[in-house]
Amino acid sequence: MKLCSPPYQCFKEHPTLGVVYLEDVDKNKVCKEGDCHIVHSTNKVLHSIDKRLEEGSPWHEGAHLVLLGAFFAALFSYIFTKVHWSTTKKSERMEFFRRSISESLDSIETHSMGYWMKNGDLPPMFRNRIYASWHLLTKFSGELFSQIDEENKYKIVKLKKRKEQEKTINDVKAKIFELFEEVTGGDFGSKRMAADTSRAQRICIKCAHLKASIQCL
Amino acid sequence: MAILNVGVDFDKDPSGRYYTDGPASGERFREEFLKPKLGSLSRDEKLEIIIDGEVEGYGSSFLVEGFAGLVKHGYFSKDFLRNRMIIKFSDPDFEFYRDKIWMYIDSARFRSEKYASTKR
Repeated sequence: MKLCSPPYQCFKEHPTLGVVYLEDVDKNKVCKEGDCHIVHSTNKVLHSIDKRLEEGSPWHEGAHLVLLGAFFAALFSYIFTKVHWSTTKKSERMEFFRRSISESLDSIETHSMGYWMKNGDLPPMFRNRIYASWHLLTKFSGELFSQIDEENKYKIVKLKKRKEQEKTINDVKAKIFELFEEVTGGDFGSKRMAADTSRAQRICIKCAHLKASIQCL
Repeated sequence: MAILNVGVDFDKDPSGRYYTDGPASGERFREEFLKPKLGSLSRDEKLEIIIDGEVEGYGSSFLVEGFAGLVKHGYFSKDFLRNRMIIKFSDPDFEFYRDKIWMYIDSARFRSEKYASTKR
């Protein structure tokens, strides 16, 4: 009979089985509460050890596991929150750009109507309003396109879907160029300009198409 | 390097296509400012055109006549313009106009139209 003091000194890692085993397993010695006694088979040894573990290992062994678990839980929740917030922020930004594009198109439409429904030499203010709205449109659309590009860079998007999106962006860019031709083409800026209602109508239609295309991006 | 500042050397409010549209038309800009400046460049010299500054914006009518007209009327080839003309701006809003200028130049056909002045 061997006395173990303190009791956990009797335990060790078995090299092949990888379980907590007895230090003196060959001799079938089992220690419990500092008191060791002989057992007659390996099963008995294991049983004794299980029982010993159930009764409670030293407090800091369990604490390690608890701390490790807490650490991983915190890490997981941090990563999850970070990803969630970044996704929410991105989609909020995209929505903001879409809304701003739509508003600048409304403004272009209003000022263009005000311009193309009148005759003669209009003061520069009329053109400047159109330019100002136009600059907002190009700024916000540029931001939206680069945001989409950026998102696709880090996202596993199917090649086919990405190509479709690129095509839609190019279509929108082409529509913006067409709208520019319509709004500032013809007699735009001419002192002898005549009202052009059909042009005003085309501008309205193009703005509506663009708004719809932007929502699809 | 020669410099042409549109807002300072030409007009703060460039607008209109032909001479008949007003004093700041694209035709006047091309005939009286851009063409002489490009024509007077020495070998390997470049022309820097500043398109922002005092200017609020441009219409396509002005840009087409002012820039694409150089190719359309056979004054300069597209390659010459690409090599010798630098379009500058500090306001990022004007990037759009720069792209449009090059787009108009690229889509113009060399010597496709004989120039007839609209000046009265």
